[in-house]
Amino acid sequence: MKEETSTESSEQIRVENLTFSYPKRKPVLRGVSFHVHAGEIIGITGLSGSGKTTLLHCIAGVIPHVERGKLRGEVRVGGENVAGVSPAQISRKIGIVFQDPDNRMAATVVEDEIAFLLENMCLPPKAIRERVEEMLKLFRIGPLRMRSPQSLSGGEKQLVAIASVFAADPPVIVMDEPVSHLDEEGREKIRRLIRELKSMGRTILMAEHDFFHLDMADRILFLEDGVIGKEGSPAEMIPFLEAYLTEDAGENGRGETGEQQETAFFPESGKDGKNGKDGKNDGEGQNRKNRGNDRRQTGGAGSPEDAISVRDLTFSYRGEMPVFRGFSAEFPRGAITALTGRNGCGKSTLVKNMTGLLRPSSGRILVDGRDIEEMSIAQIAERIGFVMQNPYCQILGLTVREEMETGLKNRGIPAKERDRRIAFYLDYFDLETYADVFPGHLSIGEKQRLEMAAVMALGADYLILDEPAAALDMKRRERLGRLLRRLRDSGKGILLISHDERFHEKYADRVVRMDAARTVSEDAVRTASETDCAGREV
Amino acid sequence: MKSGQKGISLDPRAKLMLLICLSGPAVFVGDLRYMAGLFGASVLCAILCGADVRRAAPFLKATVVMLIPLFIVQCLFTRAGAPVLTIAGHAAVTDEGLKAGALMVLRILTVVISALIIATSPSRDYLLALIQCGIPYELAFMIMTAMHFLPLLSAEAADMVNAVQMKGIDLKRIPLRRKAGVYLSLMLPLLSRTLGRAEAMSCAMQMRGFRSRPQRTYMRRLILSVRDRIVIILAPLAAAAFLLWEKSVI
Repeated sequence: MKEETSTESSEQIRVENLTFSYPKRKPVLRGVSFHVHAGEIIGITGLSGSGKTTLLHCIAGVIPHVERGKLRGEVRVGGENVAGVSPAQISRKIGIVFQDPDNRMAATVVEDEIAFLLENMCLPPKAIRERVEEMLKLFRIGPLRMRSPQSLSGGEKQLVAIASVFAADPPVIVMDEPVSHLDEEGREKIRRLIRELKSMGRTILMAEHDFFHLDMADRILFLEDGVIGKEGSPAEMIPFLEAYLTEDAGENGRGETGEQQETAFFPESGKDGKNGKDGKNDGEGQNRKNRGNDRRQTGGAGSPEDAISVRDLTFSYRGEMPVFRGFSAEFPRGAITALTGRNGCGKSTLVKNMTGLLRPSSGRILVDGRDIEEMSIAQIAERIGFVMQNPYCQILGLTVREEMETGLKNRGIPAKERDRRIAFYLDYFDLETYADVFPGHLSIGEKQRLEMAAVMALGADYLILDEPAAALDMKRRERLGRLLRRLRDSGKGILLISHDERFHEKYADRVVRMDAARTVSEDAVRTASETDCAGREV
Repeated sequence: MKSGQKGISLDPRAKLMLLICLSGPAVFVGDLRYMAGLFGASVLCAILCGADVRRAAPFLKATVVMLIPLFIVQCLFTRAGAPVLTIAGHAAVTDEGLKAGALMVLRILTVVISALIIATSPSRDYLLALIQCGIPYELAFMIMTAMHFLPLLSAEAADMVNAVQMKGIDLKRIPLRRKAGVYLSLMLPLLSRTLGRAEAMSCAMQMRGFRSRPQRTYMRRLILSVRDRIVIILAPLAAAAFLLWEKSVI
């Protein structure tokens, strides 16, 4: 592959006074201006809805060529106005890796995915084959050559997505959230790759809501309400952002702090929301709370009547080796438990067994002492709320409000109580302005918040959250963490599947580690930092 | 349903020709003996091509189960012929009815078994095969993408059914009418999600120059072997001869 020489004075990208609004919506970008030199890594961060993805799409030419809206200002890449050239010409200058590579793969096998762009460019077959081999080698994905992109892990998908645009050797690569959804191993692969691309003289723009992932950038731009609020080196920006966003994290639009919001309302455990009053626990709830407190101090499980108990569980998909064998663990009420483990050890499969979506080959799962074998999925869901990693799988409503209402109506929650819970959770998750919006129009982070809101509003005794913080910005992550603590204190049991060590180190009381097909080890959170809790994405 | 490396290696175009020449006559054959012969030929071709019958067994079983009521209905509604089963003095089932039922079952099974031949090559090969047969790339791509995404859509639909249950609708306990209503209500979200996927993929494809030029090149090219050419020439001749023979005899 040819090497490019980076020249300090060469300006690769110039964004002048960029303003953009989607049809019938207020502007997402308002007069954004900045420039990027060749060979720089620029990190773009900001809260959810600040315009990161929109900005990247404007730079990569997705706007205005594919996505429509009102665009003013100019983006020049290599001296050419992006709006004035075709997507085919753009693809030679800029490669874009979208936020959701799952939905962007056109081919059925990896090598065809990499060849796709080159075939569209009408390169000779021999040149295409050679280039594909180069990409497979450069990105170390040779073993994946004949694999279906859909069967790959998150990190592998990202590598293939990057390879598929880099095949045209563009000087600029634009990446939308390339690492935040990945486990530690996947993240390291992408980070290493980014450093290699930089050493080859490529200019990289990457957007991440978790600004800690932007430490390798030359500059970080912080987007706030569609403008660049601040920019600087990672050494300046990361501490600033940490302080800035954490400081604001407590207040909602009414100026209420987190604590004030959280005392406003909490559904008591139970099916109909009738027991318990706002913010107050009944006697049983108080007992559970006390047991939860004790459990947190000892780091151990309590009685099986107050836990999801997994006993000698074995599960295998039809005709395959067991995903896990003889697995046992307790996930008690009144505690936040983080579940971690290597890729393929079966975290998601375990959770699907716990929620009745899959049935184990042998072993038992008890919820408060009752075997879920006797229960239907709907009955299990009354006790265990589950938010999947990809919330889109769960969203059925045609509006945000309808999505919130469906489960509550099915549970027979009275109308007044429904409205109260919906109002609270929409407000808490900053979704109140989207109540009548079609969920498909929400960003990935907003969808995740919606599903968390919908599941939490049901008031189940246990909550299982699969990568809940992955798509959340720092501010909302803090609020989620506080909410989880509040739910825990009210006696609920919370299970987090998370690769985000910072998040579960801060909020989890217990860490449960799964090793492939072996029993789990359980650690109280105080010792969790001594154990390796990293795992690959399932 | 894909095979391993067993079976005779044939170009996808030859397999498509086999499919047409087995399932096409199945639509026109009217004699049970000839249909049985055609069915046998399709089974033989599927096995020779390396179809994974064991993996396909659950699907075939489901197909047979589905065909049983159709067979019964066919038998009951064919009145011609000598009675085989009489109920209260009336001929409920006749020999012609049994033949008609068997003919219908074998017809459908022949088409299904012939389709197993297609499953012995990856879809990327069929995409090239269609293009090299002169089908425009966009059309061939559409067909293959639709086939490729069918299992994904099926998985999404299953996810949505799970999501419905997780929202408190116990599908095992609600009346059939309400269950039907629930499934119908999933159509719109499923459609919207499908369209969203299509839009996202379309965007990514456009940004990689899809349809930017009237033509495109291809990394791979399928080459017909002598065996493939023999199949492509002989299969339609054999199918035509078979049909003529059947018509001349009956």
